[in-house]
Amino acid sequence: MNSELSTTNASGFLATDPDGVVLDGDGVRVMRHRLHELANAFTGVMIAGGLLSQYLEGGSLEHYASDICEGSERGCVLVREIRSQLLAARGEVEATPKGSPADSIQG
Amino acid sequence: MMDLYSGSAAERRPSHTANVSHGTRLRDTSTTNPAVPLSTIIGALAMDPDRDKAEANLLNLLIVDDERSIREGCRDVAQGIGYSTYIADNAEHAFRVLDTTSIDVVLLDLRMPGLGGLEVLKEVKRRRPETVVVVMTGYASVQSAVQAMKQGAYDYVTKPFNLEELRLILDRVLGHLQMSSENRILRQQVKSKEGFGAIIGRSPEMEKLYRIISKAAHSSHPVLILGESGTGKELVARSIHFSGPYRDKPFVAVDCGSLVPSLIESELFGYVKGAFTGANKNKDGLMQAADGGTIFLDEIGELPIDLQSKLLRALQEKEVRPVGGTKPVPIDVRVLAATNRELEQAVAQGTFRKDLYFRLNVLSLRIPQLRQRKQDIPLLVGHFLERLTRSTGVPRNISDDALKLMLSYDWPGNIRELENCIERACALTSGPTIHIADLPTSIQNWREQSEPTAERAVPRRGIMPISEMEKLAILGAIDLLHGDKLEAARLLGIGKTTLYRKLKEYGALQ
Repeated sequence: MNSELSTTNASGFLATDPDGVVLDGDGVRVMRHRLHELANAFTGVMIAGGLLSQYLEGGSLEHYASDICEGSERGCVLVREIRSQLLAARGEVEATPKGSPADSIQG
Repeated sequence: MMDLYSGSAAERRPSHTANVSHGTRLRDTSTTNPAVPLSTIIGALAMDPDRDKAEANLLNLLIVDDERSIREGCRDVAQGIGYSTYIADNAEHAFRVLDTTSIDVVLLDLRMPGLGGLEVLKEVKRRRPETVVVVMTGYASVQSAVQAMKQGAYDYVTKPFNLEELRLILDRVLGHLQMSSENRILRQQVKSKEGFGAIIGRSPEMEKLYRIISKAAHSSHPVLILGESGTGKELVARSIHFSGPYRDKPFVAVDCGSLVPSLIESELFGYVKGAFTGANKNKDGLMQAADGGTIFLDEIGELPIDLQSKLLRALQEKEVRPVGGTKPVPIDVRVLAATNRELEQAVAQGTFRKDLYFRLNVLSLRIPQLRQRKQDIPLLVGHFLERLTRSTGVPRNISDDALKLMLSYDWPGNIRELENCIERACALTSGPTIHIADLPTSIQNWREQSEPTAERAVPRRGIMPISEMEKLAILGAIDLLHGDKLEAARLLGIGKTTLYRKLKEYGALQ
């Protein structure tokens, strides 16, 4: 993730390096909050899109619902990537729920 | 009509989402569930290949999230699986739902404005430890997950998640609850050590009953309790009331069989001043006394037919009209009714109103007779002896012979007869141990009847060995045919040689 962002203490960005943005504590907090908001928004869209897709199944409008699902899935992938990077930068490990292949919490 | 969707804090789903499919076409839980006895539902569950949905139908799920689209999306998906759903947009709202409803599963956002998800989790676990909580968060570090798990969360789901992920987690919860349902019943029994609440018994019949009581307790529908006299119908009614959301509300028991017919109406519905001689002031009826809680109508089959129609109207209209009054009084009561009569038969005979029967029989359960669960007798005897020991301060026990005889007896009066028997024996016995001689004569005589003798090997009253029946049939036929043995053999369908051999055996061959 290349960035031309310069260091701004106010927003929490400490410095720019060739591989990405380095954040201080405030920056992490801000990013976490924004990620939470994005995750909330995408979850609502994905569930509603999924339900809508089933409701319209076989109908002429179904492809619109599918577009909503696909678009939100792409957005979700981005959210997850950013979150993983953020966690990795902080030396934290991402939690995985029960039943997932990397069930590290229950282990 | 069962409406598992209801709840004061619940928000109704818009009708346009009612038919979204989940593999196959979904049921809309707000419009299905016809009046079916709970025993039928439970019975069906054992055979229904689509058991997951049916089982979930009896589970209450609370979704707590400040994001409207997530709340409503999760609600629709959960309803599709068959959960009965409630939603809350903050911790305070969630607490209000928890105050009024018995919640089985909570889908909980960890980060909300005001009181956070972990606080809600703590409170949910404090109120009802067996509630399954799945936490949702948008920032899934191991630390936050571990924290939630430590506080008793069952699982953890990371936002953003999609429809399938949500279904997977709800299905997993369902599986978990199914697996642990037996354990839950056992835990409830362990609580009382001997049974469910105040009910004693650990036989399979009783475990089945506890399961039904537990389900009925978390519903608000009328329940018809069937069982022979002395089986503990009121105890079951109390268990339903006190293990459900109405536990803090009034429980009013009315014995319809013991009320003076001319007073039943004023007792049930109250009266106004001047309604009759002696009515010096207004008086609330028992239905009003039970307002907000449960009214238990024992021996409902004894209710006079003219009052049946008034009761039916009160239940349908949710209001009563006091005797002599003109204004109806609104009431909100859950009705439990019990009878030892076969109400269906009474309906067929026209002594019980069919519409009232259907109104009361939304859910029904039948309490097993004591003779159907004799393995519980030692537990019951121990319970009554312990209770008497506590009240009198004199330790009591029972001899093996006396207990053996009690195990062989049929107990037509069920638990009540057993209880009376123990009390009487304790009063009569001179020492700390109850012996056969201390038991009522009817039970001692039962021993004589039940012990086989050389002349007549009848093991139980009412049961006759086949050899004895055969003898009666042969001798009866010959007697009826005035000694015509050949005709008797023909009509009995046996050969004449066999007939003569049998008569020789009986010593009846002249």
